[in-house]
Amino acid sequence: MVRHEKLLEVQDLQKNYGKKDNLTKALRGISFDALSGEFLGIMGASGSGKTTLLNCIATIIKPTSGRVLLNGKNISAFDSKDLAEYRGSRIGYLFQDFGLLDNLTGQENILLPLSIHGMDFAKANAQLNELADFLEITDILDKFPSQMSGGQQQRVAAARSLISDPDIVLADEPTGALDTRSAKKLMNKLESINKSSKRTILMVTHDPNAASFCSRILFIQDGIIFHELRRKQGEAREKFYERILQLLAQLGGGSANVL
Amino acid sequence: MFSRLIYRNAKRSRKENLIYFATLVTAVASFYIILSLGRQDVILFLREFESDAIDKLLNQMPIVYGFALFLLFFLILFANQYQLNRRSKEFGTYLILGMRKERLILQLLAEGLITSILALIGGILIGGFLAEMISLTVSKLVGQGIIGHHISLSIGAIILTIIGFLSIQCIALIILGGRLFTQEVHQMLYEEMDKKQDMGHIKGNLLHILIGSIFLAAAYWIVLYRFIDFGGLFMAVAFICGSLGTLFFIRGFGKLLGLLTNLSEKKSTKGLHRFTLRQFQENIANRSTSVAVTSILITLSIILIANGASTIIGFESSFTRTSSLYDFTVSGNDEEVEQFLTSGKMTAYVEDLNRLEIGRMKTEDELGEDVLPVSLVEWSTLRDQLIKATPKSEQEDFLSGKIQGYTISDENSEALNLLGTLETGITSPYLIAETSYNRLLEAIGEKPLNLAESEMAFYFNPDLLPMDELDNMPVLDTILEKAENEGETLLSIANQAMSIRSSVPIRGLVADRSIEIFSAFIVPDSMFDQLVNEGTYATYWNFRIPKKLQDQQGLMSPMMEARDILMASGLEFESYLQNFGRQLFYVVAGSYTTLYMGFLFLIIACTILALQFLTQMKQTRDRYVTLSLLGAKRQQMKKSMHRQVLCIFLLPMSLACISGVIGIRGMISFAMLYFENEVLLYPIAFSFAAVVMVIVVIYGVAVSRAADHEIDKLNWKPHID
Repeated sequence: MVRHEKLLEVQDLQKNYGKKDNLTKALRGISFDALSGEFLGIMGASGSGKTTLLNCIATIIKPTSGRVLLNGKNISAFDSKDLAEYRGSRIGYLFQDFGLLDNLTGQENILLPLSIHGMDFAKANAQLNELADFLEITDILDKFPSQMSGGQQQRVAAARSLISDPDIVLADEPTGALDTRSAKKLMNKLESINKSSKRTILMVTHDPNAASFCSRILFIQDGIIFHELRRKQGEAREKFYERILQLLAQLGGGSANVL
Repeated sequence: MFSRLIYRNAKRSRKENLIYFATLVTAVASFYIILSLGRQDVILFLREFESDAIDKLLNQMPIVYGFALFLLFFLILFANQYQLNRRSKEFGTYLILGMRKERLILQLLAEGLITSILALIGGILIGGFLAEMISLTVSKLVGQGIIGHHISLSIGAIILTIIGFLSIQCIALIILGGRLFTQEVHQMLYEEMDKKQDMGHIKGNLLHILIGSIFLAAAYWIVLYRFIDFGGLFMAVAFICGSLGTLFFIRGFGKLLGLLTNLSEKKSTKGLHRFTLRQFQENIANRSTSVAVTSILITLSIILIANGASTIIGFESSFTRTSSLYDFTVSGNDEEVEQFLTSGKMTAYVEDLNRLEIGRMKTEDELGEDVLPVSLVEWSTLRDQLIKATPKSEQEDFLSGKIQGYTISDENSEALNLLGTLETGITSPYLIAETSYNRLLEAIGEKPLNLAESEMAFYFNPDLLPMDELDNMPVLDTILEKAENEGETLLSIANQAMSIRSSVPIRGLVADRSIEIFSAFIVPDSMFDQLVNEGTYATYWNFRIPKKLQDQQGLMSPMMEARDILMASGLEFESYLQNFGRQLFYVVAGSYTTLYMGFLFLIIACTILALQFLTQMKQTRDRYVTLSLLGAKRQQMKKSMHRQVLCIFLLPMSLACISGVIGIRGMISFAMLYFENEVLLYPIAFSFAAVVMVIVVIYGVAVSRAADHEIDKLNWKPHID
């Protein structure tokens, strides 16, 4: 069964910034696996190293040591040409600030990864319509980002991260710039994409609400994983949310941000 | 600490921003070139002949300088704005760290001063070198040896350059600094391209294009058919229409580009094609006015450069002496002149010495003072024949009295020109003694006339009367030959029937223009003595520089030597040099400023396009980061960038080329431009077009490389935790 395959293996990942006297260890040996079809959350306070971790996985920065294997391939050792092949096609991205190009329409933004990789467009249209329909953005496909609300922009970005049928979607605080309603809508969509099409999603967040949509959450502090929460089979989201809050409260006095 | 910051920043902005620095250097060099004009070899040379005209020309230079100052001010302003935009984040940081705005502006001015001084040094060196090159090239082109070369370095020009440049640089920085004052710190820290995409409505854009096309069509129509109506007023109308048309057209076009992205669905999905188009569209649509201005500038530049080039071609063709024969003409007391010219000092320089006798014909004026003089010439038969020989349209105009005064021009038929020339002088025509003219013919290797007793020939001045060939005038010759065959008398003088010799070769009578006549009768010496009006009788001593001497030393240097000897003698004389100098003056006066302005406009347009592109590039840097995250390779992004550069230069250029070509056509058809010498036309046109292309390509390449550099600088970690 596909479900228990190791899609992503992070092995003893370390990342240092600066030199000698000035050395900052952002990641100090992080190891974990993400299984195919998992919705994995990574929580941690500012400076905990969670974004560095995501950037290493996202091939945006090179780790100092350790390996990141995607489907068994060590992508942290890829050169820029191979990286370009992976980005946007095998790995989809979702950013806090959406990362849409202002001068392209919604549709053009969504199709951009396909044209960059020279992929077949014949199939894409059907897929585009399906995605747009699901993410409720059909009406705004011809609009420019400046003409959309934040929630709409993030859903367009989500469509873009999914259009090339990637192995994994990496989301960096996707709800960070959204109001509560839009954030909830987005998370609902992501959750159902994860469930219905077994899409693997790795999400960094410090919002317990957003994190409660995940199936598993890793807590990072000072560059290491120090805790893990699993959503039990059949556990309601609200229950899971309570547990996340409880853990955060035990660890740092009630607020995720204090952590 | 503070001064070190200033120094470092100034150094960094020169290094990082070659285009900014190059713009400043170009501005300085342009100032210097125009200001040092007075020191150019050609100008120094011309001073000796046409000092008044040269002074007038040089007096106009401050206007050109002022105009250049005005134009370059905007260029400097734009370049500085670009530079400050690039650094706005840095300024925001200074302010957040507690630097006072006054201090910041002071710092900017100090940095500006350092950069300006270096730009001045570089610019004056380059300007000096270019001025020297221009000076040398022109004197080489004009004639080896005649124009001695002086170093064209001019202290006055350097001082004025420094003052002019520093003041515009200072004003620009103060204006931009003032703008910094009103900006919020946030704005500086997070400067971004305006996110709003105003693509307009399709209908509105089509309307813009329509209005633009109508204006452009109106301008083109005026230029092609009505250019000089209303005393040049229409020229201004054409310019305004053309400018408005360009403005509207580019505005509509920029926004319509979006449609283009949807047109070719297949192609647009390949690589970054669509992104490229959108970037281009954004650049054009958001800044349509400045793109239109560059297009107008390039149009003007094409027309000005064509104009300057045509003047140069005109000079080359007038420099080939077709009708002019003699190098010197001396006048004064006959004996004195003859003695001097045959003296030992001069003989080496004298060949084909010819004493030309000329004077006007007597009139039948014995009748009294109140009566108009009556001509001795009766030429009604010839006149009728000439009228008959004019083309139909002219003939009707002539007979109906529509043509009243005569304008001799090459647009008229030969017959009409002859008619005008003869009729104006017929009361008392000029007479030339046959032996004088025979010596002239001998000098060019033709047979002497040997006129019979009642025979004459016509002389027409080749400088004033347009003629295709100097040896025959087809219409006149046909009439004369026919009359001779039929024994018809066309003309009689003092009741004596004259026969007229046809096909007499014609050359200039003197070296320059001491004799300015339209036509004359060449008559036998006896007749000359009998008919000439004593009061108008004059002699001119013409000679040429010996052929051998010319072969050895070229024409110009013996001519200058002979000129010096003649100057010392105190005799009245003129030389071909004056003729040459005058032609040269027209060329220099006509081409220097037009070419200068033409290239200045071109450089300004290119700089605006370049800086505009790089500004957009800087402001949309994030987009390239996103693209690379979506898997775009650097090569792909560079390719897209190069396409954008190409489009951004090509759009205003192509519209400008159309307008420019139509402008040139209009000027040719209204005779403001001549391309007389077809042999030279192509090489010169080609080399000027090549220079223009090279300038544009240099800018294009520089921009592409700067953009490549930006792409290479994109790091892989946009956000560090």
